[in-house]
Amino acid sequence: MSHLPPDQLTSERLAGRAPDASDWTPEPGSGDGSLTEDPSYRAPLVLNNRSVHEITEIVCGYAEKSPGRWWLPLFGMAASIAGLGQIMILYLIITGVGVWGLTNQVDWAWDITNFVFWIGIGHAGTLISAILCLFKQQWRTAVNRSAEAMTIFAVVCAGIFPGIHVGRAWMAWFLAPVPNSNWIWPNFRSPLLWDVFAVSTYATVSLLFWFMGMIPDLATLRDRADLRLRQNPHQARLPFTPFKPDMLRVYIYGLLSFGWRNSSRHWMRYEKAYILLAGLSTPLVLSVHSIVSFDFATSILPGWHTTIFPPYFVAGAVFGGFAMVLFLLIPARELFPNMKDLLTLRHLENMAKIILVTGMLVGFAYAMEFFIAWYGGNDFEYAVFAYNRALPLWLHEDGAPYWWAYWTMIICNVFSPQVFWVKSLRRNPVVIWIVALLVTIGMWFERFVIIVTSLHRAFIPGEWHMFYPTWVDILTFVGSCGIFLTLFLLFLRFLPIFPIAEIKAILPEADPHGHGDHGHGHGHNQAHGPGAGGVGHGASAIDSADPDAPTQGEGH
Amino acid sequence: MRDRFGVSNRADFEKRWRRALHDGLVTDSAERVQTPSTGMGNLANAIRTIRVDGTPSEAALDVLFTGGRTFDGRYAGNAWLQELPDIGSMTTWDNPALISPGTAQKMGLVPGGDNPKHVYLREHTTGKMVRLNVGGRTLELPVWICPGLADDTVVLRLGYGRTRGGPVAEGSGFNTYELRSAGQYAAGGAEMERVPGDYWIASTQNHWSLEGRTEIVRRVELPAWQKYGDMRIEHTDEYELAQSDLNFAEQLGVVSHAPPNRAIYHNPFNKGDGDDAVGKTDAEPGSTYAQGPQWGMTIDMASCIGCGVCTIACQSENNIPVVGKQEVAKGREMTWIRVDRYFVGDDLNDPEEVLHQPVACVHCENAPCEVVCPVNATVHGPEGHNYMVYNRCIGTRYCANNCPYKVRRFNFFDYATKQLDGGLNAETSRATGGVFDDALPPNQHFIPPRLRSRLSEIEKMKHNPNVTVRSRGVMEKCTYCIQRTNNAKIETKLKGMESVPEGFVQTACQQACPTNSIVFGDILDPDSAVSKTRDSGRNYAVLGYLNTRPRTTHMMAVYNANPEILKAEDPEGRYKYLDWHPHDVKWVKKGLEPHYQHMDEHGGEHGEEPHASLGSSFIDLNRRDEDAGYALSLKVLKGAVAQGGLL
Repeated sequence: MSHLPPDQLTSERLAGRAPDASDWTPEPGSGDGSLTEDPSYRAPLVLNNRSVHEITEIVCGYAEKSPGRWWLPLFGMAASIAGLGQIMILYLIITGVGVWGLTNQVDWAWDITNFVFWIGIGHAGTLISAILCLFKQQWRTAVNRSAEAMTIFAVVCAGIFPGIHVGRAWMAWFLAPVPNSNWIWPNFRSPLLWDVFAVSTYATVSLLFWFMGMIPDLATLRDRADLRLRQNPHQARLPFTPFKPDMLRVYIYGLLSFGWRNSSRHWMRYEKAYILLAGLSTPLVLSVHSIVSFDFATSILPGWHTTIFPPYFVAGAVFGGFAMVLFLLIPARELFPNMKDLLTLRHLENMAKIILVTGMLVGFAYAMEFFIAWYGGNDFEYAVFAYNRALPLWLHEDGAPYWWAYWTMIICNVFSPQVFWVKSLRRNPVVIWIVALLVTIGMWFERFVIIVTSLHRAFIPGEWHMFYPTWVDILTFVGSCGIFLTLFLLFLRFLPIFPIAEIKAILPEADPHGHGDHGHGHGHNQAHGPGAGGVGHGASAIDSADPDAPTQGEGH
Repeated sequence: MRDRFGVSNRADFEKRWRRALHDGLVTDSAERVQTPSTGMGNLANAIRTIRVDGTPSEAALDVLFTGGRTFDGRYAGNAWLQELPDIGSMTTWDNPALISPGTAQKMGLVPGGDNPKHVYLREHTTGKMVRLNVGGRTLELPVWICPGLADDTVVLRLGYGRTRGGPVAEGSGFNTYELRSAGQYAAGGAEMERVPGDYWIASTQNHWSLEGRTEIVRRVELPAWQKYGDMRIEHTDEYELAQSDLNFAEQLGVVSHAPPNRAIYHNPFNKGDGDDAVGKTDAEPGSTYAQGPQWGMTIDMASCIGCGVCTIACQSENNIPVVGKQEVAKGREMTWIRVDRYFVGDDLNDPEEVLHQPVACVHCENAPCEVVCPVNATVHGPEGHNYMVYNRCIGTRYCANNCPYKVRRFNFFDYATKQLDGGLNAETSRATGGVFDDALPPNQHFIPPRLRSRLSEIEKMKHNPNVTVRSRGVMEKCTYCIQRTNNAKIETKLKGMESVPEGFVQTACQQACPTNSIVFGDILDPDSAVSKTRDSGRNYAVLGYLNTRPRTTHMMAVYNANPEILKAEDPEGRYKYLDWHPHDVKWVKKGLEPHYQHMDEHGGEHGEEPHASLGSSFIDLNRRDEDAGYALSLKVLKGAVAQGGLL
């Protein structure tokens, strides 16, 4: 039956003549059905044989129905943490940078660590959206919307830190090339200024990409709300307001969807714009974090001054970004109904593989840094690696006071993803989640190690000084995590967290070449109805039991 | 008055007075030049009186009373001096008892832990409290480690712990006079026992060892200097396409054996209009750097005694705030010139020597700080200054991160408006501990001017009106006393003179230095003192291999130790460099083996005429046509044409 056109399949299902999704059983040995080992056919990206209508119902349901009792308390907690972070920022700006633990010797610590950490996290979304799109990886559709949202929110959190870490935040506008009373341009040779342009470009392009991609889905939400409103004009209004919830949805989603009316002209422009933005975002994946790495690489400080930073940071950003995507989506998968059909184990396994690859790139970079520091013969450089980072203080009295940060980084970033070599482990969501958490922690420590261990013992031993964070440092970072989580929870609640249109486009139903042509493994058994158990490989002409067989060639 | 005028009665005075009014001066009233004589014998006798007989032991310690930064306590109310690090121990605001690391370990008194080297790896560096009993008098005070002290010896500094000296003096330190009998400088048989409690010590320098980084502080013994001092080694590295011509001090540094660091950006002040320079160590003719005055400075570490007067003079001249004990502990002291102190050697208990080095902004021609400031708040001036533009600075602190000398100071709080003001305002003066300044409102900018309580007039008087007071969030550093140099230029211009005469302007640190170690002036003027000191074979650039091209260069110390002492302390003769030869130097310090690929005959011999007038240079042969002044520092050729050959 799977060769029916999508709308017919849905109506057949509604009429009871085609099997429901619940009748679908996964192929044995393929986990949830997506982890097939059979190379002859492409495993389903959406499980349970969902029809296009079901996709719409599922995803719009997330935005329309209440997500469950977990959402509100979690949101409340995240919002209060975010509020705490904002109070810390206010305290910082009113009182002075001295409320952080910075010294004249270690002038950057948690502030820039957090900045680079959040920017790095954003890179997963861009890579998924842009590069995987250009590589025509269909599995990206399950994660690209949430990952792009995470990019936006991560850039928001990242952008806070350069703004507040300056000594005179009320004059931060000096960074912009706008006329000022001194008639001075900013310094275009400074990597911090390149950051300003890179991060704002990144934010703009990511926002456009994410928003534009959502327009058809927002229109769907608008139309469904409109339909519901027409069918039931006597909906209950929200408490203490004159608004019916669907009325709000119509107006807000309507505003956001820019008048989308599902016409083919709109779709054509949408597809073009999508490809253009994907192409625009692709260089951003590489350039943004390279420029952020230039903050360090172009300085002369040993431990910072190394040409490996641009590729190392980009790999690390993808690494950390995917870890954050997994960290948030694996619990979401459990909490939201039917999400496991859309975000299958195969998606998780693919992302785990990316984590393994980028983790090894990052591990290679660590090893190369160390090797070159030794091979290069520069004492100052070697001292940073051997005596500021690697040699534990308990092992040798000249060792590193921050050895624990360095080894946390190594264990979390280099060793923990190695479990993904074991197939069963990289297909286990719990294991993946734990590794993702460890990697997120490890990536924060990587930036901390780079910044603080290089600064606290630099060239002149007379200016060696430890750095200790104050509670304002810590709470500001925790607050930024709260801001990120708050925004992400709002996204989960109100916006289409899957790209409905794109997922529909990768369903078997949407394939214009029909199902008879490409791999017909056992996965297609189930769609052929209860009486067609013996369908194997080959042409659908074998489906003699299927009354619809002659119509196979049409309607696609 | 009468003595000054040299008269004894009123009539003579009237005559002299009218004469003086007419002449404009009082003749014969100048101080006569005196040649002081040191009665070394008397000095030795005086020193001999400071003695304790017998050998000290753990149960019977030797105690030495010395003056600290507050002298005998009369200056305890002077916040500048309270914050000036004590010589040797680098502590501020307190006077802990100093003991050697060995004694501390023996008696379980290592501050904060069990390894003297790790004292500073703690957020709150604390010394352990002890009760010291000297001749029956007791006092509880903290102990602190000072490497190099003799074992079983305690050094106490007088002048702290005052109870009636104003808010700055009170609460800082311990009154060690209680242990001392009149006129006593040393005592024996003291007992020290641990009492519960730790005391928080704020010190400015958190690391004792030089870590083998002779790149930074260099010194040689006199015999080596006599043998190699005039040496200049010319060396061409065909592989790296670099040519170097380095003096003795520079040969001891990384630049003599490291590939050249090439700058990406050409120095615009060094670009001239002509196509050949007189010599590659000169500024390109027609360039900005070829026009005077070009300021430069040398700091002679041979004559520097590490007293710290330069720090105070700079603080006074430039309105540098005092930050208080808590901020000093966080590494936020604001002084622009500091004296770093290093112990050299592997054993803290028996360091080979103590070296000190004054460091201020060296005004690099290729300043790493200038490249990275996003708002152009630190730029280079045409006279060689590295400018710090306070009103443009937004405080990203990237410049401070990129400064290899770590001379930049950031205003983490509104230090300037919340200074400890010597006790005039009891609410704002906090000498020790506590939260930084609860008393004043957080930021006066947020209070409308009409409601802002004005600083008292007396407080304002302590500032130098020629220098801005910096607000929080702004970076600051040594400016070569630009207010003085600019004033000097204005004055000389008003008088119609062409240039600032040598010696007319002095930086504050130079002016105050008792040994004239700091020499500042116009390096383009071949007769200036600084030109001459820059030509010395002892002159080198700290971290010069980074190609920062600092205008302030240091002069290597040459020690003249008693050969007996030297033999005892350095039996292998590592520091004598007597057998030092560029070809086969026996370099035993950690990892500083130089490698010489190609040496010519100059090595080790200085047979021909002294090269004293030629500047040291390190030339990147790839760039010699572009960047004419690719030299370690700008030098002046005294009439000699540049060497031919490879140039």
